[in-house]
Amino acid sequence: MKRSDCPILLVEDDQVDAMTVRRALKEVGVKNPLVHFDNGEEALGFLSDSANDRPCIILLDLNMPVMNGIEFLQRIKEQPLLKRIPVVVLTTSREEQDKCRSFDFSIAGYMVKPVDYRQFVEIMRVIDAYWSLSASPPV
Amino acid sequence: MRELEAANENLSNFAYVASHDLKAPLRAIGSLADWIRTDYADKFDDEGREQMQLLIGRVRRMDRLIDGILQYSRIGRMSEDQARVELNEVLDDILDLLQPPPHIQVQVDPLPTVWGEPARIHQVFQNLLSNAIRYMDKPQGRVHVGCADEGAMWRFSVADNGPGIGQQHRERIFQLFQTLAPRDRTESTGIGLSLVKKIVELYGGRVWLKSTLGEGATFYFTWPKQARESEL
Repeated sequence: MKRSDCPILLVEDDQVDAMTVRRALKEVGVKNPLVHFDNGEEALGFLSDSANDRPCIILLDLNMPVMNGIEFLQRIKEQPLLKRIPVVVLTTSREEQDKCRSFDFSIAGYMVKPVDYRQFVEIMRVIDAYWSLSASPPV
Repeated sequence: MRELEAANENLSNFAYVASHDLKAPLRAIGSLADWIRTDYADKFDDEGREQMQLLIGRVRRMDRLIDGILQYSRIGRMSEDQARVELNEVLDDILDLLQPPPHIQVQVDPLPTVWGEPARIHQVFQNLLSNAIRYMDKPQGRVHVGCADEGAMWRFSVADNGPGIGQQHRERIFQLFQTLAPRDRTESTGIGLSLVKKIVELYGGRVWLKSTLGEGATFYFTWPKQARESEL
């Protein structure tokens, strides 16, 4: 990540998947604080509160209770201040439909969660490497 | 007939959703096992380490099985995009992917162009070739891909000089999840040939084999020269 003080927002309902992301980020040396919510609604609440630091990237699961990933995308892309935050979808789904609906909201990437933890670490490494090189919107 | 189609559609959707939902807990088991093995490495004795290794191996196998079910249930479910497929290129790609070991020689005759969904045709040849390579038991392995003109159909063949397949197994090998070698030895899922059969039959062809035990096996399948759009 270009800036290591900016939080990474993780929206993920599976406890072990959240642990996996946390652990993998640590393993590849990402220092950014990780803010984690179980569903889109809570994440939206966090983003809407201006007292909170705006995240440099959002890692988003699709299949979640209360407010799923697609609804969450719909909501943040309506808001001028939030729509620029890059979102990388992290999901089990390989379905064409989910890919299309996600990219319709101009997501920055779509990663299928691998079963093998080592591969998961590699995905995190690539995401970190990309966002260390790429410019980000000003926060 | 309509009811049957609806039931089929339901079943393949069910397989799809079920496989999907099986992946999440499986991933959790795999990750947790990996971390226990790493974080408590010094607490394990050799037996414990071996058990963790087996546990992680089984997770990977389950993952491949689920992927197999997904692939199998997707055939005929997704819109099949028909295109002209240059088989010589398909075979080049497959051999690049499979990387046969140096003791196995793969010879491919000039092949025609066929109609079909490229990914499906790829799956058929890839499964037949990977079987021929994986089960090869001779120090000098030979695999031969050929083609014959049978009027309205092409007849393709994939021949090997491997162990061969006994008469009593020839029906069984095309059924889902059936393997002839212990899974620990080959890490085979038993899905490949059932996929081949399902795809070939979807396109109106047929699959069979000839084999002499100990001397090798030849798998044949036919593929129509003309696209039969009405049936797909």
